[in-house]
Amino acid sequence: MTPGLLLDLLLAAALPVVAVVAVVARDLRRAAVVLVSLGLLVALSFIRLDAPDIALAEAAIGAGLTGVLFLDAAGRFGPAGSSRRTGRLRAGAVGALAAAFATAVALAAASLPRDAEGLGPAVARALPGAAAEHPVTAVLLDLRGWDTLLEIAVLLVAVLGVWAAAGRDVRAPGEVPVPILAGAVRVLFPVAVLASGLLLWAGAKAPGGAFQAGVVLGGGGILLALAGMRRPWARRPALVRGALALGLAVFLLAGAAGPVAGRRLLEYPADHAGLLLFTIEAALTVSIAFVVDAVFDRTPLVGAAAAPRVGRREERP
Amino acid sequence: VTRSAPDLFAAAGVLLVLVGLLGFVLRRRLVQRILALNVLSSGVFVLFVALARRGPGPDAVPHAMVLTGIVVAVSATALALALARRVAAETGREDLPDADGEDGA
Repeated sequence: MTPGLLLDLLLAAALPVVAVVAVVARDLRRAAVVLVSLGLLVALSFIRLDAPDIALAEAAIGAGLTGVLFLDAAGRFGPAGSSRRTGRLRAGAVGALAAAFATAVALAAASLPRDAEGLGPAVARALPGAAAEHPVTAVLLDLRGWDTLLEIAVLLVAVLGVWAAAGRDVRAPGEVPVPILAGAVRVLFPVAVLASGLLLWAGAKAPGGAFQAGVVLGGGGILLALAGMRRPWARRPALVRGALALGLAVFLLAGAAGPVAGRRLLEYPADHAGLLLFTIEAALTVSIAFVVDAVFDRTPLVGAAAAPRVGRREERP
Repeated sequence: VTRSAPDLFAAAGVLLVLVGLLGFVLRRRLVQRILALNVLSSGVFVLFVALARRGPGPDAVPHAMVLTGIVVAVSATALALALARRVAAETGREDLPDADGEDGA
């Protein structure tokens, strides 16, 4: 057995075990921490499966941002809640149905042809004419740009939903300023900005891109909020609205310019494609960073009197 | 990488789907259900990427789709958690009553 295969075996065996621990844990804080470790194991699995782009995204988003959201929720909901139990009969029936479903998924996956080429060769053929050298970036922003355009729209809708649901339950301003945390954040925030720029820049040729970059940048904003430090944009609703809409607006304009200039929708001019794509990605990065910041902060923007901070944080149990 | 590695991860992905599905139905607290949904979606992503690796080379199209999926999953999680907070703020509960009105406490 080669070391690589051994690593694969360990990872593949660890994934379901860690998942069970995350789902079974009664203490939400514990469940959130285990979910983060699951995300990191999944990211490692993606590296083993030759998918470094997704590994980066999973580490930043699946493990990082999702973990932050659940840890935050654990603070709100407390360690253990009233838990009604599902009846034994019902649990058995649900278990049988779920097992049947998983078996069907496994059979479907196993029935796929083993040596199918997939869409890899088609992407390789399209790559010379595409606006980015890196296959995943080319697929995301050029070959299948439609998906990504709608994706940034989904993010905007999610922010609107979070604001609408937040009501008065918004984040209290800088709760307990911890000097060590503030000191660390003073170092970490510039690093986040730098790393984000690097991920964005690298995306055209190597693993990376707007989504990873945006989440890392937004993570910097979350760090500032956690350390109770001033976020310069917190009281500027016009700025935040503009930044949130920037990615979708630039993407739409670039896409709509195609038909105006006699090309197809979302088709970029061949001579400026690289620059145009980078502009779109940079705009997406800014918007995604503000989406991340907004879904964590949850404070709706209310006209000029932005961030009124009326919400009393509910007592922690 | 040897031939069998993608199959190992595909099997792990299916198991994650199973664990997530069970957790989503059997757990009662909304936050735990949302967490189980995240486990389920991780399983789908792992399965998808493992299948994309079975061919001659990694396939960029499933990779891009999973990347999109990860981003959409986290925004759905943020929205779902905000809704769970609202349910708790309005009703003082961390779960939803059964459809048949029985409280089962």
